[in-house]
Amino acid sequence: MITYAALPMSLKTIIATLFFLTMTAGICTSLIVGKKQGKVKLILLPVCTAVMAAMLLLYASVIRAERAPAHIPAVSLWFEQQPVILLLLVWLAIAAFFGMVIIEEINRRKTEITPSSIKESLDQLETGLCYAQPNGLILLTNHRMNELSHAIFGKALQNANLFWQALTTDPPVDGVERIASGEQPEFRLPDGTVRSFRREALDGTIQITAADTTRQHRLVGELQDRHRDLEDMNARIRSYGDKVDEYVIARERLETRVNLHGFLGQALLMTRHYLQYESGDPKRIIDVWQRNIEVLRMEAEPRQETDSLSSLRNAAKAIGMQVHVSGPLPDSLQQQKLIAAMGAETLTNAVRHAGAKQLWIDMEQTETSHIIRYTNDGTVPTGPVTEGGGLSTARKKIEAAGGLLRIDAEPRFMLTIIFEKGVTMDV
Amino acid sequence: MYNVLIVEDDPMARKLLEIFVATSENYHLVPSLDSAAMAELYCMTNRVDLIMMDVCTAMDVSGIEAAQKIKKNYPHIKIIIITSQPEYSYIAHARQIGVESFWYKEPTAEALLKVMDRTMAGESIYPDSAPVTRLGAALSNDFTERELEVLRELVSGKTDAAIAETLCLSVTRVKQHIQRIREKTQFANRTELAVRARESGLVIGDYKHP
Repeated sequence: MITYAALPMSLKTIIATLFFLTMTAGICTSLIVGKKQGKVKLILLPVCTAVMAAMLLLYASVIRAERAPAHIPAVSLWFEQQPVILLLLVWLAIAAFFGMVIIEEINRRKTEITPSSIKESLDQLETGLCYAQPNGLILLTNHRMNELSHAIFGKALQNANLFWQALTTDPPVDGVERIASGEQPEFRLPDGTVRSFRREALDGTIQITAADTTRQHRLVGELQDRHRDLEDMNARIRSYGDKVDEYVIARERLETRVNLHGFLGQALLMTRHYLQYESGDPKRIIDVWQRNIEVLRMEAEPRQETDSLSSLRNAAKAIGMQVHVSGPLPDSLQQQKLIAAMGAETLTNAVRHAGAKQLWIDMEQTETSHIIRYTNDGTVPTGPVTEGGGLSTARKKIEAAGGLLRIDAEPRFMLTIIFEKGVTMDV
Repeated sequence: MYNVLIVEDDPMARKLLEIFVATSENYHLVPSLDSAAMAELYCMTNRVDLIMMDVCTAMDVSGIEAAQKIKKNYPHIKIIIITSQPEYSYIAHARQIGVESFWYKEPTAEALLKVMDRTMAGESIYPDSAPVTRLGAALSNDFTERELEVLRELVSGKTDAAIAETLCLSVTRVKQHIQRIREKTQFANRTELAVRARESGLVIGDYKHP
């Protein structure tokens, strides 16, 4: 086994220098290892001391070989008699240990959460964040929130309370649009993004967040557009419904007319058969012809289109009642029908409860509304008027059409309908 | 001889009914009305034994609604509801309010007089069901009652949310019903569905249960 003492001077110096460098690396490692790694530090210190001692002994051996050995301690003599391979193995073990400690320290620094790592992470966030004390003193804020403060108000974020106050009330700089105020202020920035701010009180800390709600806004906008389209479409369906009713009525009338004309063919066939064979009931043939003549006369005569109120008047007259109508009718056909239907309901009640014979429908037009008053010549009610099934149904219909119904029992029974001009709704 | 009151807003159809009724010696026609609004008053002031009541009458007054009031105050008067609309719910509502008979308009006097005679003899004559109508690729009896209710509200031009509120359903459920109706009818969109349904008369948008 070759001992250290047997080595040439140059190799001795190299090995001693290796120990020196290792010692230096050990001291540096012990300095960079964090406070939390106390156990590692405790091990590092004696190892470094041992390496330093070994280095000194090795250097002493080098010196002794060149100069007189009088002042060299005996331990140095023992050390230089050790096999070189043993020294190298010891050095290798110590170097590996230091290497492991350094790698572990690097890994630990990468993964451990530290104040600076928190700040770095927050700065990467797309959401603006600001934490402050209740008096507004800022504890932590990220880049995004600072950028937003500049973008919206043109100044730096210095006090969380003042910043929140500005968010809820102050006008933003030109190019920025305030969408909402209050507890959830929102702004549209010049690049089109939308930021929604919220404030929350945590344990003794205020948190202000600024979320990017651009997508939600776009979706809400699209939803509103679709809703408007749907409303338009439904309005068109309602409007079409009125036209379709007319179409259905016209179709029904046409079918009726076709059926009536069928009688004409029947009459002709019956007559021909009778004339040809002199068989059949002449009275029946005459009846059929009479029906045909009635129908043909009805078709030939110009059709009298009667409005709802005329229809009411005629029907009342047929049963010995009189309906007096005065004043201008509203233009809305729907309202005209309701006025007539209400007239029929009122007349029925007036005959049943008050023995009335006449009904007055007085219509008045003001700048803003149509007022229709119903009175009758029946006896005045002695007690309060209760709204029965007929009246309550009528009220619902009138209110659904955008009108109001009022019932007065004194000084005489009077029903009043008020239709605001320009207000028509579906019944 | 029975006094018969005809309530029908279409003058031609009214005339046709009058001609039919006049062929029988059992019936005497009293002046006809174009609106059910005046029917109760007429019954109050005149003797009426039988009313031929159309469903949709002038002044937008429902014949079924008027029939309900008349049956309440004058239960002895017999009523035959007449209609040409295939609206599925008319028959059920007429039965519910105690109307004696129900007749889908036909162009023959014999059929009507038969219903009138049997009604006056104390019978109740109802068709088994409303006439089957076609709606797109579907027939009226392909739909469930709930689907027809949703369809009626849709025809009125209501939004899904409004339909849901009226029928006490969730909006999702309403959407599902509309989707199923569209699958059955094969209509491209809800507008076409609403328009065709309204034209068919299967559901009358404005018709409300009395």
